[in-house]
Amino acid sequence: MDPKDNKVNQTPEKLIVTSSPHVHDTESVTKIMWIVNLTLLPAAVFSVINFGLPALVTMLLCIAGSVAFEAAIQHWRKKEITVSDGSAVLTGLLMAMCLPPSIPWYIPLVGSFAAIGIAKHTMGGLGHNIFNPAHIGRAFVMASYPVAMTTWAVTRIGKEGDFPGAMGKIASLDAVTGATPLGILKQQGYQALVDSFGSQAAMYKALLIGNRGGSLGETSAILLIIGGLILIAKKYIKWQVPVVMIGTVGILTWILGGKVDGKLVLFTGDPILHMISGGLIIGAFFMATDMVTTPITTKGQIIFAVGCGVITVLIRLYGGYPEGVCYSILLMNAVTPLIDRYVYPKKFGSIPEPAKRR
Amino acid sequence: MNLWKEFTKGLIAENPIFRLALSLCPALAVTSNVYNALGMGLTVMFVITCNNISVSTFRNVIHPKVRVPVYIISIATIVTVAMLVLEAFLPVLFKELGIYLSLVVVFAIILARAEVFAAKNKVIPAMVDGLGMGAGFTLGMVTIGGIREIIGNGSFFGYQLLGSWYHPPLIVILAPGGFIVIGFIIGAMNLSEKRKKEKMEKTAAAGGNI
Amino acid sequence: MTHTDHNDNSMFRITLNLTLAAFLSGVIIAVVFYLTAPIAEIQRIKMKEQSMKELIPEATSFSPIQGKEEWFKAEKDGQLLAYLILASEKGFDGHVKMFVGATPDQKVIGFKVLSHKETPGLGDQAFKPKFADQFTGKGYQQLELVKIQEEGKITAVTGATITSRAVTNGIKHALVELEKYLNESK
Repeated sequence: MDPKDNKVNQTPEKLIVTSSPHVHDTESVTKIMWIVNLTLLPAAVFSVINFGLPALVTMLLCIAGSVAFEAAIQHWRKKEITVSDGSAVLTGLLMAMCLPPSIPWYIPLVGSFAAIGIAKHTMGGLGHNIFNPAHIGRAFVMASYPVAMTTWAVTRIGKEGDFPGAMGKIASLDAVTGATPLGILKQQGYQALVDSFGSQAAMYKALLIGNRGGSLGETSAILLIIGGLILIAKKYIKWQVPVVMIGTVGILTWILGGKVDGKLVLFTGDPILHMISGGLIIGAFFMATDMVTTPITTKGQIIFAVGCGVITVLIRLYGGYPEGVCYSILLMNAVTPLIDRYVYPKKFGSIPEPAKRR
Repeated sequence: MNLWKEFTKGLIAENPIFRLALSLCPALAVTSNVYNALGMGLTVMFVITCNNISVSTFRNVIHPKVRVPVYIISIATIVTVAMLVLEAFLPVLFKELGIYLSLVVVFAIILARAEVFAAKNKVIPAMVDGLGMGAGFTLGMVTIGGIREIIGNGSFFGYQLLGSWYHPPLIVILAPGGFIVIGFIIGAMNLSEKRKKEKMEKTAAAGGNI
Repeated sequence: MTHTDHNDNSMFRITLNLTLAAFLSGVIIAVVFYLTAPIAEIQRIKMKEQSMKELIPEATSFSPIQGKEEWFKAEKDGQLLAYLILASEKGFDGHVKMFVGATPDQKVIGFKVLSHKETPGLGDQAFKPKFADQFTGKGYQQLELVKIQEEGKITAVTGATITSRAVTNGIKHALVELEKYLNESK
């Protein structure tokens, strides 16, 4: 059963045209949404342990805001109120995972409005949105409140002494803020980043476990991967998408990411750092696999994933921002209809065409 | 009065920005505050009126095959004159409007009015049409500029309306904010139109006309 | 000429039409330009002098430096007060052109933007005193841009990092150029 065919069946008042097989089962959208929510839970809980109460508040505000705006807009549009299907909760949770832990209270609410009001309902509601609502919300507040959005709290688990170098200096200040690893990489270079963790191994370890500054859900690579693996095992998402996207980022940063004295030296980058830092893991497993805003066919999804990876690397290495996963996925969302147009699904029951001769 | 109708149609019913969806580029680019929006609106109003007069005056001697190049020459002349005058006497506004001033030449609304209206009407109605369309354009620009300045900066015409408790989302005065605001305004106008129509149909049905 | 006979000699009429239109347009623009150009020129010089005056109010005369385009010495009674250097740096949208004022020992006095295409109400915040005053008295070694306030560094304007960076780099390059020039002429 392909979950993609269920998404549009939410709005039964119109004639719906999708490719076969047609499955009429509205129940499963709800089920899928809640299971995705559950798979995010470990990473979410960890982020609360990691960053403390502000993280929990941010998360609850995002979810409450999304659900409230969804209900209000559906009521106003005189549609059936479907907040119990979990999609608004998922949008809120995913957006919270992309936000810094301690931000002023209004930012999650503005973001929820952008996600639900602008990205989702102006397009026609669930199943009709072109862009990933959670990322629109995040991009909206990123452009709106750039200072608050780039003020990162240092984790509670690591005490002052655990952060030598640049991070320690910041951690000892009154306002406990610090740069994200990618931020340090962008502004001070690779060596400064390694120094801030002590050693390369310590850096990888911190990145994997999540003992570092960053967005709520960006920190613990391992917990996010576990959640993603469950989704793959349940066949809600295809393994090709995260693997290809993360792989593209790894290969490209390995080729282009290395710099010696400010000059590019090919094949000397640190792919592992780029693959497990920033929002790449959560983006690859939870955002680039969104049913609504990504291509329908596997082939299309792989093209989508490669595009996301390439744009992410371009932004990280050459762009103005340290992190580009959010924008890369939004940009590829925009070309999804184009991909769907040129990559046809295989006809049911057909035999593969013989290879074309030149 | 007929002339009055020619004037008012540009304000709402055929508003250049919201109804005809012409000249959206300046409506996005220079509406981040009311001052610039108003300056641009008035400049366009001047150009569109002068051009309507000139096109209408010469409408009988312009060969139909080359009318568009001739219109463009006319618009370009008027814009250049406006620029030279602004540069000499209002250098500050000239600097504020920057490159968009020279872009007035290619604003679709000006050519559209020349082609649709001025080329087929006498001088006085053409002038009134230009004034009305210009006023509608200015109204649209100021509306967008006002909404964007209030939401995105908490101020109106440079006067601080909302106190420090308000945290303006900067995106509204950036380019994406322009798109979003225009989209919402057009959506709201269409929605109110649709509701009005539905209401009328309902009353008609209740009256037993169907 | 009427509409009815345009088929007979349309080529001629088209040519005549365009020629006349272009000629008329040329005449009008030429006349207006002839009238406004001197005024605009005076305004331009006035604005330039005004911006120089705003930077160095005490100066009584500004004399161009030989061999350098748009570099000026600000003097008062023959005594050197400051150098004014024209800097141009890529901003968010096009170049930011500005005068950088520096003391003879190469410390920033201030800067004055001559032309720019930055976002109104956002990018141009970087030209206002709140941001601009941070440069005063700093040498080029101290010009480092940060996003979050830090002692002794330049804090970027919220949401206008690129413009802030353009201003900072423009001033930095101007000061470096000035030092090079002063070392050469020694």
